[in-house]
Amino acid sequence: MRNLRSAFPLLLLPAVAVVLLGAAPAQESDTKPFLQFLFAAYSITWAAFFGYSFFMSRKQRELKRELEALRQRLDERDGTPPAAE
Amino acid sequence: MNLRLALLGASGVLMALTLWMVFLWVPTEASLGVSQRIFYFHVPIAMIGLAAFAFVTVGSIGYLWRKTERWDNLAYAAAEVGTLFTTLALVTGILWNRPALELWWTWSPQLTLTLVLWMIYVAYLMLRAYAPKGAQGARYAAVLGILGGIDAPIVYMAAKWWRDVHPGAFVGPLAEEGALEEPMAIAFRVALLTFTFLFTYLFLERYSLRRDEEAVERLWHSHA
Repeated sequence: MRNLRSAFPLLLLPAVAVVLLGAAPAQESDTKPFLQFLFAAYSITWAAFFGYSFFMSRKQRELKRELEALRQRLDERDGTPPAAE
Repeated sequence: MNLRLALLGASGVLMALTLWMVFLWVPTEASLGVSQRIFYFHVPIAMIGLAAFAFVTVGSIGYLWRKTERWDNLAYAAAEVGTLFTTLALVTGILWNRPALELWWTWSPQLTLTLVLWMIYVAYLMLRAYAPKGAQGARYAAVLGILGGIDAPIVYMAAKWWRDVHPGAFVGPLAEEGALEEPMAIAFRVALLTFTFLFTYLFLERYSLRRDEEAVERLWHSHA
């Protein structure tokens, strides 16, 4: 969750990219068909970075769950009541 | 945590600046047209993917020498983030090849060696996933990490040794004088700085996560 929160500013970047792409002046009409490759390259790059951020955030959640399970196990072993959340 | 947040914030601000420069400031390249703007993502990403292997190699050598988890975690984190960057370098390269050379892929030495480097990265991660946990798996991976470290400089030198359809080096000792027009060179440097910050942020996050994973695993074993 901490990762997701800290990665939030990055979420604004694709929006900036889309705005800039839309605002970019068409300088040469014969190069226009190549815009799809440009768009694909930038979109895939961003999708990959977000995908990786999501993967790390999920790993962190799993780790937190494991720690909680471990704490419960230790509490049971020691015979102490589980700590209140 | 504060350093990582600062790195992320700096990457965000620099990325906005990079996008403004790439789409609104730099002139359109005469022969390649708008597709040349892929260059500002492709080249810095590819360079950082190569540089990441230097971290993998250093981490691997450090692990074999010192046998401490810290070095192994460094190599692992660099390999994972480096795989992301090298994959993106290949994908953006393919997407630039099509409009520039009218083909998706060519077996040029630099592309082929980059593909080999990517395969070494993937092999490293697969080895970590399937090899025995603990010191044995880390030792096998360290050997592979050092082997990959041999390929990375060859990818860079390929631009000089085997000149072909792939453009030569734009930065570093092999760069030709005036290879880029001034605005393009400035935008490129800003993009390189942006991705360097982003890589550093992702690397530090992954390193910290890996260290926590190892600590939890140790706890499980000690209390099982």
